Amino acid sequence: MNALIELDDIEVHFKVKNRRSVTPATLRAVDGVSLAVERSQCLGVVGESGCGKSTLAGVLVGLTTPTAGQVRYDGQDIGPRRSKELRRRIQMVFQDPVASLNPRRRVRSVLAELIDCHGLVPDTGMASALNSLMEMVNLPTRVLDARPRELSGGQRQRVAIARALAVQPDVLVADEAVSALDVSAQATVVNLLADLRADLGLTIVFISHDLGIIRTLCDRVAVMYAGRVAEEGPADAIFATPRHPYTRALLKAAPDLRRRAAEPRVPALEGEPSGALDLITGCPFQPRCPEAEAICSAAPPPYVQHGSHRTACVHASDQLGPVPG
Amino acid sequence: MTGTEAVIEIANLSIAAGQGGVTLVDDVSLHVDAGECLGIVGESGSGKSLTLRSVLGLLPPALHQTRGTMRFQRENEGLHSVGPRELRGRGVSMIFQEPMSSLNPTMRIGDLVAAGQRARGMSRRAAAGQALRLLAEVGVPHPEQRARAWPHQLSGGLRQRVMIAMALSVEPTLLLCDEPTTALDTTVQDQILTLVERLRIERGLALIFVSHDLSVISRIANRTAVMYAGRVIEQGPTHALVDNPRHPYTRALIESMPQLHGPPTRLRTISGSPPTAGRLPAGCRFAPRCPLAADACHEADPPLLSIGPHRSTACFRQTALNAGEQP
Repeated sequence: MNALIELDDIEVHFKVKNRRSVTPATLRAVDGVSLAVERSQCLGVVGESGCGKSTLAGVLVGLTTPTAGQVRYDGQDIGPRRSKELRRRIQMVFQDPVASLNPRRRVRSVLAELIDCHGLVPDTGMASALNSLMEMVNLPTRVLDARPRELSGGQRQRVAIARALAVQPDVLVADEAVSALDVSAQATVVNLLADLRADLGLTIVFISHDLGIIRTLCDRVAVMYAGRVAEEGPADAIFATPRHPYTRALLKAAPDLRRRAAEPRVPALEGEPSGALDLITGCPFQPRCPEAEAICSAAPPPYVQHGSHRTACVHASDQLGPVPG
Repeated sequence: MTGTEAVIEIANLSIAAGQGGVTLVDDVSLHVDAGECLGIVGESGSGKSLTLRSVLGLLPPALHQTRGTMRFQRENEGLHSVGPRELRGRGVSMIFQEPMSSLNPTMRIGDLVAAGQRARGMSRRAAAGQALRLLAEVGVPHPEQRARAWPHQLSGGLRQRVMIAMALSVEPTLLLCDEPTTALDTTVQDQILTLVERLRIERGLALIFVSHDLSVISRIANRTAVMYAGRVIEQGPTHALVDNPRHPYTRALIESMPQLHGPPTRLRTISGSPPTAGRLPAGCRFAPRCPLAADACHEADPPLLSIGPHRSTACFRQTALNAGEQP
């Protein structure tokens, strides 16, 4: 396997002050996550709020220091204190372009500063570099002279993507990058990301709560629950034959334009994710799991591997067919 | 088509900013029957939330209703002309998107739910008892305990359930829902949608459900109105509308949505962006972005016309759309 980015048993624990006790409690935002992303692959990370997916994005770009575990880039261990060159290679697109773009600066100056800072283009080539950057994200060149608030939501997010692309990265980490957009603008940005991956060979880690977009964009999917990866595998397998009860519930709960009244009138899943402060000894999903048994609360379930599809559920091995491919 | 069973009829509603200012909602007519859920779907700025808020007179201070009448069904009285003040707490309740900012943080859950009936003169004890029953009805676990909790101690899903209990406490016949599940997680959204649907069936509630997400609307609404740039551009039974959209905008909206099932497909995009209020194009508001637009579309704004039982569309080119002409 030729993994470009590897996360090895990443743990991010935060100490939180608690009024009820003297010793601070431990918030397990990410709790033992291992993932590998190959070059030019798009990995989707899906999960509900508080599952640790955004913390994971922070670890990938070096904004968050993991309390344990290793991040490897192209086989090399990279710590949180990264070289400028490494920082350039892994870029992030945030959810809210209004918050991530300086409102007082025109798009041109934002982008030019970055290119300049990394010395990527000689001064004489700057204008054409900026123009081709705009072309890459399907924006007219007049956007270069606009300020963020003069642009629509979809345009702003494309500027945010241009900001990330300006430094010619290898990896793009998109954290809920289309969640704040209207449907039609969302489609434009999703298609843009798909094109960039095909044209530039960009590696993308796409973090979202929206299963439909993950389905459209990603070739591998990791489903996270309470700081852990519940299930990970090829997108086709995750969507066609989900093995973890949480993945199945998530797919059932997601509203679907085409699914009709035949569905049962009971919610796919009761309850809400337990807080990351609660100490869970067994499977983190066990309190909500419709299939939970005594064994589930004893110890965290190990991964059941099935081809390149792994599932952290003791029941996952019951339903294994032949390994596909 | 609106039989005697209509709970509310809104006719020719227009909303503008300031005196003689920009029109934000233009000539919207809607009705909802008893036990029916009407969905209103549209992108941000389409006027869907303003339309909903105007029913209870909850428009922001800078905006006001310039036209329109409202008729509401009261028991044994038939449809009567009413103003928003006569509806607030008297037959119509509303739930909002962000339950935390809609719940008074200085009141306990039980008192919040009891407040409506206390204001109507119910005794403290009876109102508290009713609050417990309502909390149980909307699926709050351990209602006796939770009634003593503060809003900040509850999760987002429970807060939304509390808001629904508050809305139900005044025995409404119409419940207005303004994106009540948008801020919630997928599995919690599913729980709230199931609850709202159960209440509609069990209590015979009429609902108006506003959302930007057509897949949420298709799950909850019997009938759907699609809004674009301040106008209703298509209306019809939800499933018929999703399967066979009769307006190019509705069709584009459906094709730009990612699908959960089947092989992944490239999403359709709509060129351009919605017009800003005050700078509307001449003729049909969607014409500049419409792949089917003809000369007539740039000259006059097509009226919303009936095209079959319970279906209407505002498009001159809907026969072309219907003939399967691919944009």
